[in-house]
Amino acid sequence: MNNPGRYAGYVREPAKRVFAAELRDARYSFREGEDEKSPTYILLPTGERANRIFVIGSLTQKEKKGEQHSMYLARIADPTGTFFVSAGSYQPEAMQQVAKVEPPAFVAVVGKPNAYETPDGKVLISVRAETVTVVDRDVRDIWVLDAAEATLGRIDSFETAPDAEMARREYNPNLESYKKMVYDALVAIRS
Amino acid sequence: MESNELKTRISQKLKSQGVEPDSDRIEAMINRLVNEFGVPPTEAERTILQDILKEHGKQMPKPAPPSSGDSAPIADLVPGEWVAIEGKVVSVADPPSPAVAQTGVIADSSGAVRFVIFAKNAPALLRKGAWYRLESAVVDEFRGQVNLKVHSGTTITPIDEDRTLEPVITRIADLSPGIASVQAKVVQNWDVRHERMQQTGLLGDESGVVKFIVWKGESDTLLEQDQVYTIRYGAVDEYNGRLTITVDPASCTRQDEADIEVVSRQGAEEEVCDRFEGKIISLEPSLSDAITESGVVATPEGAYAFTVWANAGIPPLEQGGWYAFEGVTKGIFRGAQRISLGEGAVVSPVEDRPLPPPGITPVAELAPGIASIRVKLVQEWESRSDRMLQTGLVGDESGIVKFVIWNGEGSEKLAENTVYTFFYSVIEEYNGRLSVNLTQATALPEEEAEMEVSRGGSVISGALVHIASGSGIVKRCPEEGCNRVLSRQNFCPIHEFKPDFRYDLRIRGTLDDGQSARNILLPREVVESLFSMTLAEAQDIAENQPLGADEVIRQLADRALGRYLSVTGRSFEDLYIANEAAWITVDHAKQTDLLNRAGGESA
Repeated sequence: MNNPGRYAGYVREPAKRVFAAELRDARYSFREGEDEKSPTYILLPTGERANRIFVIGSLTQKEKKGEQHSMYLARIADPTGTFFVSAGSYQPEAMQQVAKVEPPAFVAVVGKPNAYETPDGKVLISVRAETVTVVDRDVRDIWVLDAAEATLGRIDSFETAPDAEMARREYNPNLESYKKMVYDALVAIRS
Repeated sequence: MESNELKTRISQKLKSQGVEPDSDRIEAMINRLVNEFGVPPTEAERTILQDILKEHGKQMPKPAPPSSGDSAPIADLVPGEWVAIEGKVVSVADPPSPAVAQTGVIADSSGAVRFVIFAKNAPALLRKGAWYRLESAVVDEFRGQVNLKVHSGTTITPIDEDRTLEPVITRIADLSPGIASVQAKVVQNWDVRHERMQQTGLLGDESGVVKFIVWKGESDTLLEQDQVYTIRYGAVDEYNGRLTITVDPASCTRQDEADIEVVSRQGAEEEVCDRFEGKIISLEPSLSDAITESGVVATPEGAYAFTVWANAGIPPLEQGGWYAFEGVTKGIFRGAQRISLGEGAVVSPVEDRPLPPPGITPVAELAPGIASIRVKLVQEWESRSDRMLQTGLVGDESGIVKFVIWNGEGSEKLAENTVYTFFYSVIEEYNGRLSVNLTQATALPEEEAEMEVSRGGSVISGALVHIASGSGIVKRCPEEGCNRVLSRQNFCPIHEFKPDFRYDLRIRGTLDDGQSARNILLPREVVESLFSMTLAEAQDIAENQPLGADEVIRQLADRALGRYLSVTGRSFEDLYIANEAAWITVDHAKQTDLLNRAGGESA
């Protein structure tokens, strides 16, 4: 504790809570600043940038890909749709964590969303995992509430949010449909 | 989707690939994925099909257009499907871009949908008023609305008979973006401000009101005020969170006999205020066409944020001026009372008078609304937006609160070690946390003043998203007053090699609530209670298992990462040190609240 400046200048990006159906609609990514290390963001249609996201869902399938099977691709479903998650040799912990999971299982994933353009011009978002841990249904339900609250927060503050103008230009989002997505997700966790 | 229906679909698809389905096994898989693991049925179907096909060494078939003779009701179209529909083209429009050959609306007795025919290899264009059968059209989503794509592979067959088509009338309160028919009364005519626009105003029915637009086109007909119309197949769009219906007078029918009792938009959430007089404390330029200006108005009893809507037709207000307000409403906006100057509001200048200085609210007692505070800068955060001049924490003797200063005329950063009094700052609530917007507040710095800021035993919560190195079992220097963590080789930076170290257990990590990610430290007592791993057990693992101390971290990470915690403690620089921590459990009251927020009144 004798080095007060050790965190100075570095603020870790918070992990945004986003449902699969919203992330699927995202396609616009941008970089803040010119620096090689400046962060890349995905713009969420509800008007907030995300450099890191936190999701919890059911890992339904995993598959080894790449040269020497150097990465895992996994599908993770939340009540609204599917996240595509990758864990490669640059994320050895995440890769080992995915290797251990026996699908189906609830998993919590922290990772960075990346936009990829497919040959036919579609933009897909995939999440490069930093950590993947097996959790239980209760934790998943807490996440659904958390993601619902965060999404509604973004919708409600859309008029005043700093990134909303960009979201309007890029997506012209139908906020009501995202509200409905939230509603459906909340109903889906009712036991 | 019923699980039986899902089972049948999966079985059929397996059969079509030459795989004999095992009904019990499919049912068990559906049950496991859908019921136990909450996987949406479509994803479950995909997973099960792929898993079973893989076992038989087969690939998933590409989605093929269905060739069945049945047509789908338009109201039931779901994005992602290939469909056959039968409907009447109720309108066609000029293509919005050269890539498009034609757009329009096609309707059947269940509803209507926009269609688009792309210019590339376009099939024949459709004729307004004619019935068609479209096979292998693709339902997709454009700007959140269902859209029917007609492409080169779509088969278009004209239907000769003219079937009867009655539009389904939607209540205004139930409108959502897409195509809808309404029966409504013209309740207001607004000034037309756009050269392509012929008429605009408000339509109303018993359930609510909605803005309408008539664009200039073939007909010069205007809708008459206070007249009820049946409006067929209008396009409903959303802009700035409000719906607008585009009306074609040619497809409207006057309902001379009908009258409608229109409810006002404000409804239950807003109440009409008595006449009052107040001083305009601050004004902000508007970011939206619907709003002329907004700001803060103070009365001797209290201060409020206010919004002047464009339809009120109120001339610009003057900062510092006193006005009498009549016919205005008060509602709740983001947890705070807000005064709304809409249609019917009257504002007239009155004589200036002194306003008693507002009372200062301690930070711990802040609530959404307008408040005056006396605080000191506690911590500056890196701004995440170009529009933001400064953000961080301010505090007083009672506690700390997040603040924001937006860029703007006269905006200034807070200086360190200066006590400020801010008059009329806006307190907002966002995700359950308060934030003080100081952008427009009047600041009074006191350079000589001292203030002891309490950082309190505050509670923070979030998900544990990261465990940093230096977590788990650590060795500490045994020298009196040192307590430093030793390296793996038992080296203390001050006291050098210390083979007689003490063990300790801790987690350094990141607690993230989606808005901010904080460095937290969970000391031994907290780790022991949270993870039911005592220091003695950790020591045992570290000394007796092949991976040693790494195994302790691995086990803690498995139990901790991605879980939600509520932590009570204190901030020390940028580190939050926990006194207590507890796992967060599912909050069903929160679920109910969120359902209400997401469903609105119509749920």
